[in-house]
Amino acid sequence: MRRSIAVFVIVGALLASCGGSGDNLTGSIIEVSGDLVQVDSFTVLSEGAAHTFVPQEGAKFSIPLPHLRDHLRSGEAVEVTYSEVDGVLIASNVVDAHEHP
Amino acid sequence: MKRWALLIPTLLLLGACSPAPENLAVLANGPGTVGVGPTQRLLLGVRAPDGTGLASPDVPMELQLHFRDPVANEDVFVLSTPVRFEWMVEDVLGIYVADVAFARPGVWVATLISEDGEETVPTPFGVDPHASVPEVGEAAISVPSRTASGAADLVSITTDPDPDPGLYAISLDEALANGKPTVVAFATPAFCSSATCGPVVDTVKAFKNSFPDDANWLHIEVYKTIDVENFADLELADAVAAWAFPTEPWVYVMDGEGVVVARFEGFVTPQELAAALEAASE
Repeated sequence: MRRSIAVFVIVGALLASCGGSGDNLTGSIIEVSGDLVQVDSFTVLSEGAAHTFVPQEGAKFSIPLPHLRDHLRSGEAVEVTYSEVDGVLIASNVVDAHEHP
Repeated sequence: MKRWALLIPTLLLLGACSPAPENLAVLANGPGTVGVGPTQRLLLGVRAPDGTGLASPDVPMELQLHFRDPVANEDVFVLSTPVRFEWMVEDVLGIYVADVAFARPGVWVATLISEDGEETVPTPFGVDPHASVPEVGEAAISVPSRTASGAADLVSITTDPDPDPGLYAISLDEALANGKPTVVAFATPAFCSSATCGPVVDTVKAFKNSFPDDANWLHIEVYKTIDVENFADLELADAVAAWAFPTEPWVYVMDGEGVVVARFEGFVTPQELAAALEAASE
């Protein structure tokens, strides 16, 4: 039993160190890099800081990422679910923030 | 590869996670769509440090443009021009618009200045030797587009929830050859469901109903289908791929010879479309 708990704690710590738990950030899109099929990265301005995200490969996003350009024009906020891996912010989902007030 | 093409992402990456205490100007034109030569329609938003959009009809702004001299490594002032505020969604969402003709390609720097002298953080952006999409004065790209007669039903060729069959009556290549002006919207209405984007298809639809015989009126979907397991699997419609749009939506207006007289990225106002249609009919 103790061994199971120890393994659980170690695995949990490893996942946390990789940022695998998934954080959320809400802000305004200020840059989108990519085209109508593939977005390579996007930058969100939130609480005075700019955060650049790279989409997670293979992730199923709730909205098509090229739609982020509409947010770039409008300034409407988005909510990003992400994890940080080796200093890179990996986005696993993006939603229109007004859908989650 | 052009040096400035590497510079812009580098500047943005350097800015990642760094404080942004001042208001920020955001250039909303797609990559490669701003070129040297014809007047360009620049779309400019303003963000407060917390991300809030600040564009308003009650806040007049002026645009100051510098050219980043790659040899002297300094920003050289080129011009100041007033910008106009335009509603993308009437009384809901708007943006600043500036009409500027660029004399040379490279990195340019935009700063918006309010009447009380408050300046945004200078925003670098690229100007290409030639825009990646057809410019005013050039021949439109003549390619077939999907029509109602060639489809099982309208739902298979449009994501407009209230489609007008008249926008799918003629193929783009036929429209460009029949001697009438042509107005075409390249757009995916289904992805414009959250009121965050200009309803360009609705605008074109309204004009078509008011002036049905003045032009060929078309809507071309951006993707072959949006019924995909994963949005990463979206495929561009053939006509859209031929026009090489990096963004959507776009509205193009061509004269009876098939020459582009106006192009609008992101949204088009009724006033802009009326002026373009008049120019196309002259």
